[in-house]
Amino acid sequence: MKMTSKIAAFGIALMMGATPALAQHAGHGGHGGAPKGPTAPTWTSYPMLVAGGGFSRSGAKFQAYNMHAMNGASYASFYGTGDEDLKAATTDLPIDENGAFSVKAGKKGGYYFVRVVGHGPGGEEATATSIKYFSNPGPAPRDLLNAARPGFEIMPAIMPREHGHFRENETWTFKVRMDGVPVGNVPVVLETSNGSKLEYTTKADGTVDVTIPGDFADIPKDQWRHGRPPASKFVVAVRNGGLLATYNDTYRLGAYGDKNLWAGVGFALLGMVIAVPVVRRGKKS
Amino acid sequence: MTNAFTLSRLRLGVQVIMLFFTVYGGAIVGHYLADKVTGSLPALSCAYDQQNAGYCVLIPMQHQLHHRVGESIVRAQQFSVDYIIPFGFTMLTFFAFFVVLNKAFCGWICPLGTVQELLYKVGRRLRLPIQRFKQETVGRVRPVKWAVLILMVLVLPLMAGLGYTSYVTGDAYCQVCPSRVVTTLLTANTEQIAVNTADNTSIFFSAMRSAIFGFVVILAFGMRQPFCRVCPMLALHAVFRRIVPLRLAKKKSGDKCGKCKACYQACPMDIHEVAFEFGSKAFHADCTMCGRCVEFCPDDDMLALKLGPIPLFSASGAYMKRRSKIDKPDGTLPKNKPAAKPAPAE
Repeated sequence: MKMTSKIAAFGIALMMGATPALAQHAGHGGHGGAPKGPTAPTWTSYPMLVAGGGFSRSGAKFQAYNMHAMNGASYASFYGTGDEDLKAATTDLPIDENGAFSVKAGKKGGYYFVRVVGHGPGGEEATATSIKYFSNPGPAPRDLLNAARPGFEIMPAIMPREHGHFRENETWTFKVRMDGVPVGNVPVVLETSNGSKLEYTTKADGTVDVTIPGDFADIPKDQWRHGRPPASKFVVAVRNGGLLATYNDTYRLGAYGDKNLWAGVGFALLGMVIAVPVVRRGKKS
Repeated sequence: MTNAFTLSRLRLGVQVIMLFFTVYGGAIVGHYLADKVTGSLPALSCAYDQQNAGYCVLIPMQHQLHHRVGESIVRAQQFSVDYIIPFGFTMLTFFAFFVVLNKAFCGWICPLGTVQELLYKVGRRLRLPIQRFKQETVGRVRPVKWAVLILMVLVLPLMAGLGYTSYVTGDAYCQVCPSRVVTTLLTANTEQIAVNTADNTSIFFSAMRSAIFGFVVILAFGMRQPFCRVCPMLALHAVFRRIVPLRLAKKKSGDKCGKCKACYQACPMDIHEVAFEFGSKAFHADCTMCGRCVEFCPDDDMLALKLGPIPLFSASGAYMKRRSKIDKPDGTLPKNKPAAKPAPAE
């Protein structure tokens, strides 16, 4: 009984002591690393869908920017055996006059597809798309990415895995399609929140390889969170006739941006040097 | 049974196939984690390797303690069974896999175990000295694996979730695991050997990881499975090893047993109990079920790998004689190994 009381007291002390940790976890956006609240992009005029406050394992609030006269639709991947199922999973989401709406991932997690169809800043018909990862177990996004959907769209050919991210200096393939049919030889523009702008053209099969530029500026460490600087944003946009399609997401510091490879090799060599006399002391067989 | 067939050769074949599967298997089962065989493999198949086909149970265990249990307690200031359900499912999935092969996940499937064994084989080719723990000293290293399991896999991730320790300790064991470096290097990815300079804690852990990797790689040339001796997975396996049908079995008595000590010499984990104890005591917590002790035991049926009551592979004097022509119990190559036959004349 005494031991039980001690364990209980220790547990209560742990929980009470953990109160200050609320601040540490506040605004933790899961692995998506979503910002606390959406901020209007000043670095692009292209339509974007930005996840805002309340991003959790089960859902998120989104804000559409640079669009007007919108209709919302979300396509969840959890029925994802083909485009018919994806269509069936479509839900008309109410969007307020400011372009805000919410999506619910439900108990199944994984990759969710969010799309808003409306009009872009130039009045053209615009389709803004983003994909978010909700960190509960869920299916792979293969069907989600390959489904033939109505309309004009630009989508990644493959998404980063759980714990993976789009990162600077990496090349990712995007697909441009109209009603599910690849659209070749159309101009694609990449813009980043760090001020880069790059232009590409789709190949005959509708794909385009986009290299995310290494444009992270030095960010003071007091603004870093969980050992890394805040994510930056990018948008890829494609025009075809009077149609505009965009895909936006976040990207992170490059693979070696906060790492020192040679220091790692040095420590590995140090470990090897320490091991050598241990091996030499062994018995000759 | 042909002369070419031995349990060791069968095991090496399985190990090489599983090394490919646990390092590059994403090419077969798909790119995404959701397509993987499991997130609860009882072997050090690293989730930082983006091309693998299934990953280690220690990743979800640490994440659930950090993100679910720890953070939920902080947020709710109360403990609910809902917070530990994912942890329970992880353990159940681990157990489902574990039931199939028991500790053979260590000796037959773990990619780090395979790499260490291959390095030791290179060491034997180079005739480097052999380093092993003696009967009186092996007891000093055995408790380390339990300390690593409790501190690095269970306590530190929970402490990180509660906010007491740095976020880096949220997967404290993975921070220092050499398999993270070995398996990613095998995919030509040097990212995990680099020192993370984000903060002092990250520098410390990533420098430790690189140094441990270097230490283990060199040590493996002269010592069999050096990292396995302190691996928390071995400890996790040990918890359940008695209730799984597949196991190492030894007779309860035998007059000749304990004299030649060939099984002890053959054991890569330096388990002396296999030679001097009988019955279930011979199946020690450190056993990786590699089967070498059974192969080198000259006493018919004294040792066996068994599935329930069914012997899958039993000790045999005749087999041991044939087996000893390939290598000695400690892995040393025979001095007068026959040279390769010359190619027939055209």
